[in-house]
Parts: sequence; structure tokens; C-alpha cells
Amino acid sequence: MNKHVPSDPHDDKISSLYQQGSVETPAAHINENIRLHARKHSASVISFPLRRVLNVISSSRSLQVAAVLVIGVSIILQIQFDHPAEMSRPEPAEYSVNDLLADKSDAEHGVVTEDQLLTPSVSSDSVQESLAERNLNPVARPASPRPAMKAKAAPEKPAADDEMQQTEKSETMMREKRRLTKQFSEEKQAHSSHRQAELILHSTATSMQSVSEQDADDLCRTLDNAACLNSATCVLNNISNDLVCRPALNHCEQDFSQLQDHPDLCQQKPHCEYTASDCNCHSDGSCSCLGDTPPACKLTAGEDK
Amino acid sequence: MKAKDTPIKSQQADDQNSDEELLALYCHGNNRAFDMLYNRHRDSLYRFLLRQNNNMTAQAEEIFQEVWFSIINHKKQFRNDSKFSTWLYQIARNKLTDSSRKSLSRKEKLHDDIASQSVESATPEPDHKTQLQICIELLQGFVLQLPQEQKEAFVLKHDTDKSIDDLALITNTTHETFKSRLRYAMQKLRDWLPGECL
Repeated sequence: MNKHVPSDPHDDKISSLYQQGSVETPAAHINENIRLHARKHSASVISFPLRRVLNVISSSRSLQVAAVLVIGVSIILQIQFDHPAEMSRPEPAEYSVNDLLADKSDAEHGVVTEDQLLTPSVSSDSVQESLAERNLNPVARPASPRPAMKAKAAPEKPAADDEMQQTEKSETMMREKRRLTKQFSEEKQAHSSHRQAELILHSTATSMQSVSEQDADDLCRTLDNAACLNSATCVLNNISNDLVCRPALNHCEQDFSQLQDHPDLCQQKPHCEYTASDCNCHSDGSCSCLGDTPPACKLTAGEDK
Repeated sequence: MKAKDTPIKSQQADDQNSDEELLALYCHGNNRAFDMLYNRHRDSLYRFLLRQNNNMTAQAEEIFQEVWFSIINHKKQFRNDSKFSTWLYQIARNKLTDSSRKSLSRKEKLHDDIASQSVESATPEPDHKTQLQICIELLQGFVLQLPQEQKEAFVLKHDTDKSIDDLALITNTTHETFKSRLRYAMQKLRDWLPGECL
């Protein structure tokens, strides 16, 4: 092998003997292991840049946080793009009941404000119907600060002939305000939950939207005539020759079942008067009342305290 | 060096490539270059490790794999200002040193056993083996009995195709020191081998 031959003549013989006996080679499985290892690392060399980037991304917590933020912002932008009206809708809490009542009256007079357009339709309808049911004049509500564009549509206050009637209207209006405040509070909560659900679970946004837009407070409308008569919080009333189930408006109607409770329970309440009638309810929940007027516990005079 | 003006990735590995060129090709994903490089140094490195481990096959194979794995894993750390074979055997020597530190007492015991076996096997057995075979076995036994540095010098000198300068570099010595070790080793082997083997 080596060209540097030792000087002693016997050294050639020793070198020859050694080289004749030096024939060992590594085992085949050793060769295979090493070649496999070499190929494995050769392949990793080719993909090294990409692997390095992936390793950096996977090992960096800050990058993980950034990725989550980017995904979250993307979802929000996507929701805004898909539902621009809902995302820009003002919070119900910033929308006072007086404004709502004013808006309803404006709507009755043909004035539609931007807030009305952005307010859930169910709430608008329920207020409008409630006002219609009671045949209330919107101008009779207590004075409240109004936007200029809304105030221009306010009609003049009519002359009050009957003081008792005025008192009852005022009292009814206070009741309505209180009920709507509660309704809006619940609606705001439902709306807020809806928005949160949209941000977190975009895939379920559609179903959540349908749930939130349902008027959970106006359960009375879902009741049939028999159930409404039995209810202590709803009142079956004759409106335009049609039996309509609506929420109880005053202390006389509240906690009084038109069908089950004794008239004395109504008479015990101050300023309450019982109007008798006779109703016959069927298995399908429909009822027919004498004179088409269900029994009722009505407010006669004074305030609901 | 071959075709230095050719991009390294487009070169094909062949027998005319130097060790350093083959390693460079392998660093760019050429597996054939590694096979050629491995085949060039496989046997000589294995025998060197085998002798340094007193012909203990298991230990030699273990270190042999470790050396090549180290070469593969750290291939990009090779400095082109040195020879690949020098780097290879320096790694091998370091692995041997680590191994001997781990099992120093065990190896000393094995060395004693093998030495005694070699002395015992010095008795010729003409009935079963030829004279040449007997001389070869005697020489291999005597090589193992050489002092470590002389044995290393003898094995490197005969199992590799390196110059004295390269071998001195591998063993981290001077040219003269390596020649001196080699001379002492040959002298002892001449003294130990029977006259019919010379």
C-alpha cells in the first residue's frame, strides 16, 4: 500500500504478511445502516430551509400567539364583510326606551329614522303592536330629549277631557316603558351573546342569528287562547273583534288568571275592577267568549303602586 | 480537482473525483458520491478500528458506525483546507479515545486475555494450517501486543494509503515522531516473529 518502504529488508516480508491477513470488512448490515443514514440526512438537506422555517414557527410561542391573533382578526373581518349591518348595529343599551317610543310614534307618522332601520325588527313590531293594542297616542308619553330630526314629526298634544283617562294613559305608558326596558335589557343580552358567538364560532352564526332575533319576551303571542286565559302574566283581550294574547299591562292584570282566579282576587287590588264574562275553550286551545269579550281585571283609577 | 467551473449540483460523482469533491457532492444531495466515498475508506477504517480494539469485532463495528454517522451529521463542518481522510481518521481516533475512557478497565482485561492467547497461539499447528496462515496469525497477534502508539502507527501505515506526513497529521504528531514509532514497531515484530516467517 504505502510507497514509503521501510529500510530493513525484513520489513517487506512483515508488511506483506500483515496485508495478506488484513482482509476484514464491515458486516453487510453495518454498510446498510450507514448508507441509509446517509440517504436520510441527504434528503433532509434538500428540504432543510423549509424544515427550518417550520421548526421556528412551531417552536416560537410568540409566533403562535401572533397566528391566533391573525386568525381572529380574519374571522372578524369576514363577519363584517358577510353581515355589515349587524356588526355596525348600535348596542341596545345605548338606545333609550323613550327614543324607542318616539321612534314608534314617528313610524306611525311615516317617519323612519336610521336607528329604526338598524334596530331588530322584532322589537319594533312588538312595540308598535303593543301601542296599537292599547290604542295609545304616542304623544301622550312623558316628554324626553329627542333628536332634532325626530322632534319635527311630533304632533301637537290633544286636549284632555277626562282627567281619569289621562291618569290611566300616563300610568299605562309608565308600565309600557318598564316592560320595554326589561325587554331591551334581555334583547341586549341576547344580542351580545349573539355577537360573541359570531366571533368565536363563525360556522354557527346563522343559527345564532335566528335565535337572537326571536322575541323571547313576547311569549304571550305564542300562547293559544286557553293558555292565555290561564296565564297570570298574559291577558286575552278583544282587539278589533279579534282575541289577542298580550302581556299584562298593570297591577290589575298581573298575577291574575282570567279563567282560574276568583273575581274577588281582582277586587282586592286597589283601583281594580272585574268584568265578568263566560268563555268556552276547546281542545285545540281556541276559546269563544260571551260577547267576544273575555273576563278581565281592569284598572279603574289611581296609580299602580 | 475535477471541473471546478462546473456547478457542484450538476456534477456527477465518479472515481476521478477526490474525496473532498465527493463530500461536496454529497452535501448537495448526491447519494452516489457518498457511496463512492464510503467504499474508498470503508475497509481501511474498519481494520484500523478493529486493530485498535484488539480485533474485537463488536466494539470495532460500533465505533465504525459512530464515525460514519458523525461524518454524515457534520458533513458541512468539513474544512476544505484539509484532506477528508485526515478528518475521517481524526474523528475515528477521537471515538476510540472516548470508547477507551468508557471501558478502560474492561479493555485492559481483554487486552491481557488476547495477548496471552496470542502467545499461546504462537505454537505452530502445521496439521491444520499452512505455514503462511500461521505466520499471518502470529503477526496479527504480535501487532496487538505492540504499545498503543506503535500499533496505531503500524496499522495506519499498512491499512491506509497515506503518506507519513498525512499520518503524522492524523495522529497529531510530527513526521519524525511518526517514523520513529513505526520503526520501533517493526523492530519488535521482527524480534517476535519466528525466523521461518521472515
